[in-house]
Amino acid sequence: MDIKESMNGSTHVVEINGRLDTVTAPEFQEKLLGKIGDGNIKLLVHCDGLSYISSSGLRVFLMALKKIKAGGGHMVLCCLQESIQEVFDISGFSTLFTIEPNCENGLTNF
Amino acid sequence: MKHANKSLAFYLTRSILAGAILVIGCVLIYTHLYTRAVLLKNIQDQVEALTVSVMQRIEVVERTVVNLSSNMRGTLENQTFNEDELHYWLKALLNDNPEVYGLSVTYEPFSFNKNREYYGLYYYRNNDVPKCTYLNETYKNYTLEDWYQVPALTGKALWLEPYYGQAGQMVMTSYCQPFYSGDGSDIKGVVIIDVSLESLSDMVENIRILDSGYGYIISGQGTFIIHPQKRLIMNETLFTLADDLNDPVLKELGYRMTGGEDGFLYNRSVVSRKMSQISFTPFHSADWSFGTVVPLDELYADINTLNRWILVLVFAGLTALIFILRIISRRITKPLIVLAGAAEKLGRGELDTSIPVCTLKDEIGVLNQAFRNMQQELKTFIAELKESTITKERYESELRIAREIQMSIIPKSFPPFPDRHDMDIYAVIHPAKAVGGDLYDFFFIDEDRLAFTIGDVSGKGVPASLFMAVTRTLFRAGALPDLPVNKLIEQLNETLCTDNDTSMFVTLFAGIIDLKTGEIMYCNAGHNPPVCLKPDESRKWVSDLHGVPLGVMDGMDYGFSTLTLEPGEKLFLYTDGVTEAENTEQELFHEDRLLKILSSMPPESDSEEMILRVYNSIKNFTEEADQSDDITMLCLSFFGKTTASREKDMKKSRQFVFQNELKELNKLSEKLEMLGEEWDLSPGVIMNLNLALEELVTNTIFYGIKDDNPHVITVSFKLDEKELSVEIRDDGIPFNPLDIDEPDVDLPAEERKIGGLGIYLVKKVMDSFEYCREGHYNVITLKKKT
Repeated sequence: MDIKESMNGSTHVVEINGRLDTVTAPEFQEKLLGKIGDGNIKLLVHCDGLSYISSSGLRVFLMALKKIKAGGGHMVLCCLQESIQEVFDISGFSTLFTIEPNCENGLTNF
Repeated sequence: MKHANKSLAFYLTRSILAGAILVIGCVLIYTHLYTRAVLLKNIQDQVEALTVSVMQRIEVVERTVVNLSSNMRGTLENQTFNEDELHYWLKALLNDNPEVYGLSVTYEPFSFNKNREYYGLYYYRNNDVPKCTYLNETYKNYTLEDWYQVPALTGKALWLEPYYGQAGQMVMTSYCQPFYSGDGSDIKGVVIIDVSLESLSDMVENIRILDSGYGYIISGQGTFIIHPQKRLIMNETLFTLADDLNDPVLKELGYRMTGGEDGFLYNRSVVSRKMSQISFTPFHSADWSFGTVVPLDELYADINTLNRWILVLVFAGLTALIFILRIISRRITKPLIVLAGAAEKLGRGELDTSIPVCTLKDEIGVLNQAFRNMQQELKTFIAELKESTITKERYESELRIAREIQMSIIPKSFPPFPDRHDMDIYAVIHPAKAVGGDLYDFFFIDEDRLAFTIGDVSGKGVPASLFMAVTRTLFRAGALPDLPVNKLIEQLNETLCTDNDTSMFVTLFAGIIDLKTGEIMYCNAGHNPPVCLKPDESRKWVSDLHGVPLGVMDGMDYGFSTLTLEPGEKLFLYTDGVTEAENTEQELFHEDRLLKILSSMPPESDSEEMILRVYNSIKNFTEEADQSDDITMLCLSFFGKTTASREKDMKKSRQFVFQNELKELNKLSEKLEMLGEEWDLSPGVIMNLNLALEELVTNTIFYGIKDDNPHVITVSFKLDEKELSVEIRDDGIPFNPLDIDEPDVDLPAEERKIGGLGIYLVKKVMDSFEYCREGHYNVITLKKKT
C-alpha cells in the first residue's frame, strides 16, 4: 500500500494505491485520521489505485467519516474500482459515503 | 552551568551577609540604647545644674530681701524715726542694697504722727537715682490695699503675686512684713521691699539648653512670670493657655507645677509646638515653679547623627563585604565551572577534552586531580572496550556469514518439485544462537529416485558448520544412480576420516526412495530413528542402525535396510534438537511427546503442516527457555504412482498452512494469486476469496487463539466443475463465527459500529458458509460458484 497526499484548492486529496487489509489498515488509519485533525476539512479520497479492501479497511473509512461529520467537514470518495465498489455496496457503505465516478466530480461535489 | 555558579556565589554571599547583618544589628541596637541613655543623662544633668543655679540666684535675692526686711522691722520696732530721719534711712538702705528696686515703710493710721492719719514713704530707683514718693498721696487709704491689709491682719510676712510695676514697665514682686510697737502688742505698720524681676528674667531668658531649649517660671497660680514669649507674661496662666491650645497635658502640667511637684513629662512646646521634654521644680518660699523645655529632636539630635553615621559605615562595610565575597566565590567557583564544562564534554564522549591544570591544594584541587584520573581511566577503558567490541563484532559477523553460507547450501524453496504429484517433501532448520552443525538435503538421482538425508555434526561453531558443509557436499557428489546407499555412506566415512585431526563426527540418516514403488533403501549411521506414519494413525520407529557416526573410524562397513511406504504414508526425520529440546525446568521434549503430536495430526496433513505443528508443539513446550541446539526436521509424504484421475484430483486440490501471525496475510494473498493463475479463476473470485479468508484468518488470530503460542491454520482448496470449496482449520478455542450478530447495514454513519463487518462480508461474498468443531479443531467450509 502506498499513500500520496496533496492539496487541490482548499480540498485535501489523499490517493491510496494497493491493498488495504488488516496488515496495512493501521498505517492508513494513522495517516488519514492525522490529516483530518479536528474534522473541519474537505477531504477527497482518490481510490483509483485501491485494488483490495477488507473489513479492516472499511473500518478506517468509517472512522474517518465519523470524525469529519463530527467536525463539520466533508468527505468524498472517487474512482472506486468495480470490485471495491461491490464491497462498499454489500456492506451498505455506498449509502454512507458520497462516491463519485471520477475525480472532477469528486472535487466539485462539496 | 552559569546558573549553578550564580547560586553557589549567591548562597555563599547571602548566608555570610545574613550573619553579618544579624551581628551588626544586635551591636547597633545595644549601642543605640546605651548612647541614648548616656546622652539623656547628660542633658538631665545639665538641666538640673541650670535649675540649681537659677534657684541659687533667686534664693540669694530672696534671702537678702527677707534679711533686709527683718532688719528694718527690728530697727522700726526699737527706734522711733522723725520724717527726716526716715527719709535719710530709707535712702541709705536703697543705696546699700542694689538688688532692691524700692523700699517703703507704711504706718498704721496715726501711728507715725498723732496728727497725721496716713503716712507711708516709698523710695525707689529712677534711672539709678533714688526718688521718693508718699504712698499716703498715691493711695487715699492704703490700709485697704492687699499689700498692707494681708500682712497687717495675718501678722505674717508674704510675697505678693508678681505685677507690672513702674507704670507697667517691668515685672516686680514685693515682700511685705508687718512691724509692731516695742512691746509687740500693737501693729505699727508694714515694711515693703520691691524687687524687680528684670535681672531674674534676664538670667532665665539667657538659659539655652541645646538649640532652642528654654526655661520659664510660673507663679503659684500658674501665671507666667518669666517666659521667652513676652505676651504670656502676666497675661496667661498655664490653665488659660491649655484651654486656648486645647492641650490637656499642658493643664496637667499646670496642676503638677502649681501643686509644688518636682518631675518631668513630655508634651509639645508652647513656643515651637515640637514634642519636648518638660522638667519642673518648685522653689521660693512662695509657691513658684521653674520649668525647662527641651525639644526631643534636639535631645536626640546627637543620637540620630551618631546613628546616621553608624548606618553609613555599616552600609559601606557590607558593600565591601559583598564585593569581597564575590571575589572569593568566583575564585572558588571558577575552577568548578571549568571542571563542569570539561565533565560535560567528557559525558558527551569527547574524551580528549583538556582539563585545565589546577594548582590549588584545597578540595577543588583534589576534585580536579580525581577528574584527571577518571578521564585517564575512561580513556583506557573505552579503548579496551572498543578493541574488544571490534573483535567481538568481527567474530560475530564471521559467524553470521558462516551461518548464511551454511544455510545457502541446503534447499529451502518449497515445494521443491511442484510438478511431482507422487510425493511431497518439506524440511526446516531452526538454528540455535551459535552456528551449529545440522544438515538435511534431498535431490533426485534419476527420474524416479530421490535421495534424502539428515545429519547432525558433533559440536558447534564454525568447525561444526564447515564439517557439515563438507559432509553435505560429499554426499551430493557421491550419490550416483548405481551406488547403493550403504556404499555411499562407507565412501563418505572414508573421506571424512582422512586427516580428521579434530576428531569431529556426524550422525547421518540417508535414504533413497523409488517413487514408482515407495521402496526406501536406507542406512542409519548413529542417527536418531525416524518415524514412519500411516494414514490409520499407526506409526513406528524406524530403528535399524547400520554403524557408528561418520568420521569416528575409517574402514567401517555399513549395512542397509529397506522399508516400503504405501501411498499416504509418511517418513518423519529429525535431529536430537527436537527430542532434546529443554524447557525452563530442564525437562526434555522426548520421543514420547514427538510421537504423540505426530499421531494427533489429521491424516490429510501435508509435510509442511506436519513440521509446522511439531515445531509449534516444541515451542509451546520450551516456552521462554533458550534454544540450545539446532532443530532440524524433514518430512517425506508418499502418494504413490499417480493414475490419470488422481493426477487430475491433485491438480484440483491444494493446501496451504499459515502461522497465527498477521504478516501471514501477505503470504495468503500471494498464494491466492498463484492459485488463481493456475486454476484460471477470475480476479473477482480471487478477490472475494481473499476477502473471506482474510476476515476468517484475522478472526482466528484475534479471537480464536487466546494463548501466546504459535499455532497453525490450514487452508485447503478443492475445485470441481461447478464450484470451489475452501476448508479452514485451526486448533484455537471453539469459535463459531456464524454466532456473531449481523450488523445493520442500513444505519447512518453516526450510528454504524466500527467493526462487526467481517463475518457479514464473508457471508455476502461466498455462496455457502458452514462451521463445525472436529475434535480439537474449528473447521469452516466455504463454497463459491465459479
